[in-house]
Amino acid sequence: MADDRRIPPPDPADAPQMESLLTETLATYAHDIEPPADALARMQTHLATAKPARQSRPGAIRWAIAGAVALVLLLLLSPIGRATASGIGHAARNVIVTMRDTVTGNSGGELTPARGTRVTGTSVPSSATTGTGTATAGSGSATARASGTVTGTITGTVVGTSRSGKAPATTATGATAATGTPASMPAPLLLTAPAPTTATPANPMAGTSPPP
Amino acid sequence: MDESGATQELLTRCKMQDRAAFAELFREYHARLFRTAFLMTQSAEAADDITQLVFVELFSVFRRYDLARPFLPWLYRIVHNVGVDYLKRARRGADMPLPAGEGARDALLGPDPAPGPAEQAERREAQRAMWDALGRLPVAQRTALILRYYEGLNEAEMAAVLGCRKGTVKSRLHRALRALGDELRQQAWHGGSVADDLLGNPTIAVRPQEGGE
Repeated sequence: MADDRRIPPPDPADAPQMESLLTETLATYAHDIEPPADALARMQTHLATAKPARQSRPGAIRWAIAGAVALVLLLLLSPIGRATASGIGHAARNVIVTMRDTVTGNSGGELTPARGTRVTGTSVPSSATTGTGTATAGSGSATARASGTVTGTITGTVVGTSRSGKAPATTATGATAATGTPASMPAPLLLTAPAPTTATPANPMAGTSPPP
Repeated sequence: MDESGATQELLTRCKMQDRAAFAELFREYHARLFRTAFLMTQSAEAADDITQLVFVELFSVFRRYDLARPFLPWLYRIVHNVGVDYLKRARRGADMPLPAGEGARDALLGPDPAPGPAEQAERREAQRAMWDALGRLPVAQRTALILRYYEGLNEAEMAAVLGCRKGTVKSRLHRALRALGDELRQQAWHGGSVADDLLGNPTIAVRPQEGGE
């Protein structure tokens, strides 16, 4: 015959009895055990053979963190730091522009406008060799292919772009006679006139060009 | 746990790495720590190792001790950390039960008590069952029970020793007691008679004799 004991769930009422026995058990077992008599001698031997206590590591860590922070601040705030950051910025921008040109297939030397540049106006066909026009009031752009010529009167703000060159945006204010060959010039427009206070009404640039 | 003036002076000297003072401190606390370590590990050899490690560690970190803070919780924290590390290294850690240690137990309590007063024998047997059940608890729960029921620390002091919040201590104690009850019931299931008495005479259903339905 085998006994089958059915165990009831824990009863909270048992807790005091169990705690009492636990306290008694721990005290009995702890009382019955005696520590080794030679423990002190062994501990002193351990201490004698142990390495000297290390210097405070937290102190060293604090100094290291402070040094790193000071170095970062120096790099960020000093002229050297700014120059370095600027150089890194330019390098990063060049990489991005190169990648973008590669992706978009813009490998023909077309001007990549500087950030924030707005290109407006009427473009001249790539076959045009000579363009003439007037750009007034506001902004416009005249574009001539390589070795072409742009001639006109400019009043207001002009943004000139050379397709085969790397001409930067040029801004003229006031009545300006512009003559030049932008394809071979870094700056396509020659500004000579002082700026007037009034401008001729807008007249989009009219360029003429022979058929291709 | 407030230290007396003499203890404060002793601690101050220990902080200055005075070895004579440290030996004095050793004499004062060694037996107590040894017993705590023994209850944690249920092994005299392990308790001796742990106590040695604790005092060597204590000497090296005494410089960092803040004399304004109570000493015993700080000391017990070292004991707890060293003890847990020791048990982990010995691969007898958290969730593994300690060896039953039958021989050690008999050495401590003696062989089965000779026929004597029945109550005394029952009490011994109950303690033995409790000791076995304690040895099967995870070390974190066992340590919590020892700190509470042997060292008599309150929850705030235990929280300082164990490096946790009071609420965590409370729940850990509760879980430990429940696990201890379960262990004792397991013993009852496996035929122990002590746990039956201890846990309030659990219902016993006797299976009918085979073929006697």
